[in-house]
Amino acid sequence: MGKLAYILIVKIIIEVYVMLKKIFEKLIPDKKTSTNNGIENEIKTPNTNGISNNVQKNKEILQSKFKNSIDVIFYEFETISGIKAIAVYVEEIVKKEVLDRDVINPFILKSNDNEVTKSVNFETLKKFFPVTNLKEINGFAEAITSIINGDTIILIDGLSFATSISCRGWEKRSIEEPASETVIRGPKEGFIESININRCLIRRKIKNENLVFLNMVIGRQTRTQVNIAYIEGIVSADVLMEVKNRLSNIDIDSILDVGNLEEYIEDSHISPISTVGNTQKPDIVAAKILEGRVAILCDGSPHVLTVPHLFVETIQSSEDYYNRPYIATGLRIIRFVALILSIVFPAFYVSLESFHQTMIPSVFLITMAGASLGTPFPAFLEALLMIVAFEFLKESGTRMPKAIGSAISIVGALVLGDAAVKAGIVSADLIVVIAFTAVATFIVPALNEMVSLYRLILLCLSGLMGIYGMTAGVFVMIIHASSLRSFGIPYLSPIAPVNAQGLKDFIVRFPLWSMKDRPNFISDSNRKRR
Amino acid sequence: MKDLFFKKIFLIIVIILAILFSTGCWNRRELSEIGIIGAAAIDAEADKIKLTYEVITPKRLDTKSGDEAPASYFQSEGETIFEASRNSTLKLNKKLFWSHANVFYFNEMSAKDGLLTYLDFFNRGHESRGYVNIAIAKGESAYKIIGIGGLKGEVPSSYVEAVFENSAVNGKAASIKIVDFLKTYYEEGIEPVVGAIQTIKRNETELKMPTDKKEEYMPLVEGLAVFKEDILVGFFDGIQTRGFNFARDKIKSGIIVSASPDGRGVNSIEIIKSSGKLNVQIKDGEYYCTVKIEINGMLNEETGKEDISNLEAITKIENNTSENIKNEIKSSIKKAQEYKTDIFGFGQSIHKKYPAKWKIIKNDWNDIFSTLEIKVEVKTNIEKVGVSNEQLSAKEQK
Amino acid sequence: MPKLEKISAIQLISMILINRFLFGFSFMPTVTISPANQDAWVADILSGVMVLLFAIPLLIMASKFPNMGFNEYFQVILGTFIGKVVCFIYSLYLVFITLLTVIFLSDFLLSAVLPETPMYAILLFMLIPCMYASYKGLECIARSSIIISTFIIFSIVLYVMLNFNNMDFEVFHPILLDSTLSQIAFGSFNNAARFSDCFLFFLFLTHVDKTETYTVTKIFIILVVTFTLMNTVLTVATQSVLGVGLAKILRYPYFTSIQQINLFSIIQRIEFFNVIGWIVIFFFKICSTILAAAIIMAQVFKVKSYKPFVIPMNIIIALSVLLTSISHYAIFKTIITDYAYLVIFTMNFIIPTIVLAVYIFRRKALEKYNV
Repeated sequence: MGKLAYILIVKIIIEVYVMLKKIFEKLIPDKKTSTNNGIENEIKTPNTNGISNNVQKNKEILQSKFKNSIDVIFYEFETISGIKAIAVYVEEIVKKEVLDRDVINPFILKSNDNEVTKSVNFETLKKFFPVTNLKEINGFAEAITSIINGDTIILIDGLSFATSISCRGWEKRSIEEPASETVIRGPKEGFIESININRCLIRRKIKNENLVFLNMVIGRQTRTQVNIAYIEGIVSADVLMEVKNRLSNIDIDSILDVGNLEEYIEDSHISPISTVGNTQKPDIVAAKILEGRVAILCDGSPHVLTVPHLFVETIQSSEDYYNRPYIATGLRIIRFVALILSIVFPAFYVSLESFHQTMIPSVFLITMAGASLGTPFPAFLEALLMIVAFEFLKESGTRMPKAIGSAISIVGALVLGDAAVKAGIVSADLIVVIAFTAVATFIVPALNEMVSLYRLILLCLSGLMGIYGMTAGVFVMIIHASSLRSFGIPYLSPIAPVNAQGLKDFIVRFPLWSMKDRPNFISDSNRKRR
Repeated sequence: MKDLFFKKIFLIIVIILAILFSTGCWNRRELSEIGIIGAAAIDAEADKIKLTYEVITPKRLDTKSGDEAPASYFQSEGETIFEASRNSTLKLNKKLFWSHANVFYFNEMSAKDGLLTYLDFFNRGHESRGYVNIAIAKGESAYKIIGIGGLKGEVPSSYVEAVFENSAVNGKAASIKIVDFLKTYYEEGIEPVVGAIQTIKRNETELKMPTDKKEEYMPLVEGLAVFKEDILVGFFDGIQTRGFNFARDKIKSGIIVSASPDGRGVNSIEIIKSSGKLNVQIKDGEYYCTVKIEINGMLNEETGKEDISNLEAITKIENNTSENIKNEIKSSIKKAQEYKTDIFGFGQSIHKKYPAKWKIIKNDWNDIFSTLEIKVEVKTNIEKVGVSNEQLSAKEQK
Repeated sequence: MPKLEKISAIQLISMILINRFLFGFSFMPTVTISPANQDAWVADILSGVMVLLFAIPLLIMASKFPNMGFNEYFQVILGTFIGKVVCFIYSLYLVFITLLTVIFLSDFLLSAVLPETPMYAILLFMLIPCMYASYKGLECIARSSIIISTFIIFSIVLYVMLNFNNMDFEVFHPILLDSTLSQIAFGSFNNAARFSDCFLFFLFLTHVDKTETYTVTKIFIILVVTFTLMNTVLTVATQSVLGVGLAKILRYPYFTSIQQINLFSIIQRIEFFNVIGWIVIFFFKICSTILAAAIIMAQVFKVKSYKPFVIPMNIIIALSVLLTSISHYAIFKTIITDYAYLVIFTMNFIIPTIVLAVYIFRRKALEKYNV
């Protein structure tokens, strides 16, 4: 190519760059520029002028606040001495028997004189309600929050404050083994959607006064409760401060699941590797907190986030610590090898078959050549098709109703594979490779997203340039993974930077009696485990 | 800063994809485009090279292809090996792929010309491997040897390669690979050898039997082609080859036939372990060369009548065996001295022990070697005699 | 640089170790140039000693200026203007080394692995990952070096073990009696003089975490011992498999010796580990050398961050490979075998000696910079 062609290429590159820049500025808005939009939709903060003496007026105000929604019940009753009172609660969030029997009934019976109206402060009112967890409510905002969270508000005529009683009892799932994290040995409890129960599950694992839960409310519309859990004295102060900062910077309409939180607090938004871990089992969370990490719970979500999250944790499973070291080490090695294989194997196979037939043992080459005799596609396209077909199968398997699910998937996969080979569309060798890759993908489910993306990229690169392209891709992936930090801690600790204590738990799990120190790459305080 | 970098990366990716996808992938060859060579026969004629090669047909998965021939044969000519290989594309629909070849045959003329000129392609090309067997076709053109042998459905070159590997159990042949040849060629004080192969006609009985392949000829892997530098000077037959293998410590197994103690029968000793050493000493300008062999054997067959379960008889058998081995080695040394090439490596031992002297006699060593008197000492230990105490033919005595 | 990135001593050692594997994996000077007979391993061991000797001036100066990279104390010793000029020349020298490395890798790929690919495609795939890695910075490269060096040492051990059948240690007799001392000395000088990564070591020394107990000399000695050992293992393995004469004429002796593995007729042709390792070593050397060159350049021109220099340097390298004929076989071979080691030796030893002499001369005036 002449020198003129090079000058032309440079000119074209500059023009394309300018054009793409303009397109980019329209397409990718900055994430943090939308703070102003939230304010317009904000619910007008109600008049905090306090609760008035007149119970009817209070009722009208509250009804208008709740926009006459039918599930907010305003129950009017009178005490024996004729004092009007209204109980406001949300149906089905409140346990009706407790409300009737333990709150309303004794109040009606006990308040048979005018002492009720005479008692102008909350302390004396307390003796009329023989329950624990009474709270004094002084403003409408607090009242609304209280009602939404499941408490019952008692408004009494003549008193300018309200009482809130917590007798929550909505229907929730029972504690069962989570479907996605099954173990053979070890506790089988899993978190459920109620944050109180989740907190209680963790608290029962770590019976320690240093275990602290902090509360935050995030989300303008959903006002979800988010809790931070850590052990004072073990946790690293930097990580804790960072978590608090990032959570309080979130300005968003809705938090429906802890996954929404994850996207806002993670370190690198464009990296396919996730630096925030999640789990559904309390014993795993307890173990991570004990090593100095911070756990984030979210109301309405059975998953709990743990930060910081390192690469080592993706190949660890809780069973490794409940079994003996030999089998734990064996399984870890299998997981590690499976992880590497599931990323690299299709790309490697395609590059060997299309570019470097000299690197295949002779025995295989003749059968491979025979297997791909009638197939029309080049090896790279075949592999791409099979991977896409596999993703189809996976996705449809999750969405199918359980009754049809297993039958169709088995028959479909078997018949599809077999018929495709007989029809000469794909070669049998490739199906074995892709099936093996598929099986290996599910061994490390935490990295599913990264594995699928990387697999595809490596396949394309190796289809272009053989083993050279694949190595270039692997090099970029290693560099990218070692540049990540999870809340300040390098993602690839303890391998790089090397940490002798941490290496005792990497691929070979040393016996528990030999792991005397907590891993010091997470938290430097209080290193000794014993 | 982060966004700018992100945009730059995207731009770069777009450019890469645009360039690479628009021009296609070089160097990609599908498996259906390559013709895998199993064996090649290189016949050097007066002014050109004739190349005959065997292209392996890929094995189909469905069974109805059992009638297909496992390999097909083509021939092409050119001035060099690579040109001949590229000229084959004038006739063949695939491009030749040299990497998986099992064995190369050369005819005598190419070996007499200097084998290295033909091996340069295999050394320099990026596809070839060094562990391919090479063989010199004795007495005929190489293309007559390629393609015979093997059962139905079996590729002939892998059949011949397996026969070459068999040389480890009989000792009468040698399986020399390209890297071995080049290694001995570059080594000082030793001359290279290459295995020899010839065809042998099946006899009438074999032809009448119901076999899968009714070919008239079969390959016979026996003997050795002896070189001086890289030029062929002669051949050894089976017994002399075994003598050579004893001296070079390459025997892994084999059968020695020797006379029974009473002289009325023969017995066969199986070699379990053999070790050979060369020893050279220079005293007062005289060379004292010895070949020391020590063998552990097992008596496997005995047809004499005398009782062999006493120490005396065993010792006699041992001595007879040693004598036979000694004669084999002596005959091979004599033949090598006739050809005036030191294939045993006595020069190598001198180079290692007396490097100063070696520098002086380096160039005339082959001639000096042909005049030397070389002593051979063999020691046989027969420790086991199998599972029978007496031989079956001993009953006649009683 | 605004924030000093911290790496640990092990990471530094493994970074330079990977770079040094380059010669063992590709052409081995002691096997192919001199002494090129069975005493190559002696020359290898001797070259380790020579590397230690040649680095003495730099080691002395590094211990006197513990908080500065070599570019900084060159400027202090020689005066600002001359120091900046010298550092600029060093930066260009490092770019030149990268250019040689790029040509070397493309040479290997075009000869042995992918013969028909045009040069610009190879360069594209080579320079873009390396630009990305240089952008990410020193910490990143140092962390990934541990993973890479583990992989490479593992692959070397694997291959040596699998190749054990083919090894014939008799080729090493007679020891030391065939070659003259001048041959061996020249061979080890040739090998030792190619230690172009010396400067990466001394540049990144300031980033090493000071809380660990270390001395510069100790780290350097560990580094030199490790790579001398590994290179000797590679030489011994290659020569015992291929024989001395054959190894001399080959361009990539270790690679060819790997190709001879043939166990049980199924474990054969497994050199893909070696090819992957080879490519990764070259990438690593390119990105770390460009990073060092960019850091020196940024410090010379008083720019805050080295990142703007990375892309232009890579473009210069790409253009010079494509437009000039430096990648032509004959020209490249002459440069590598005849001139490269002299250039590297000058920059490694002669110029630091001069600087050391100047330092001793001006010692009184520079007292305030000492420990």
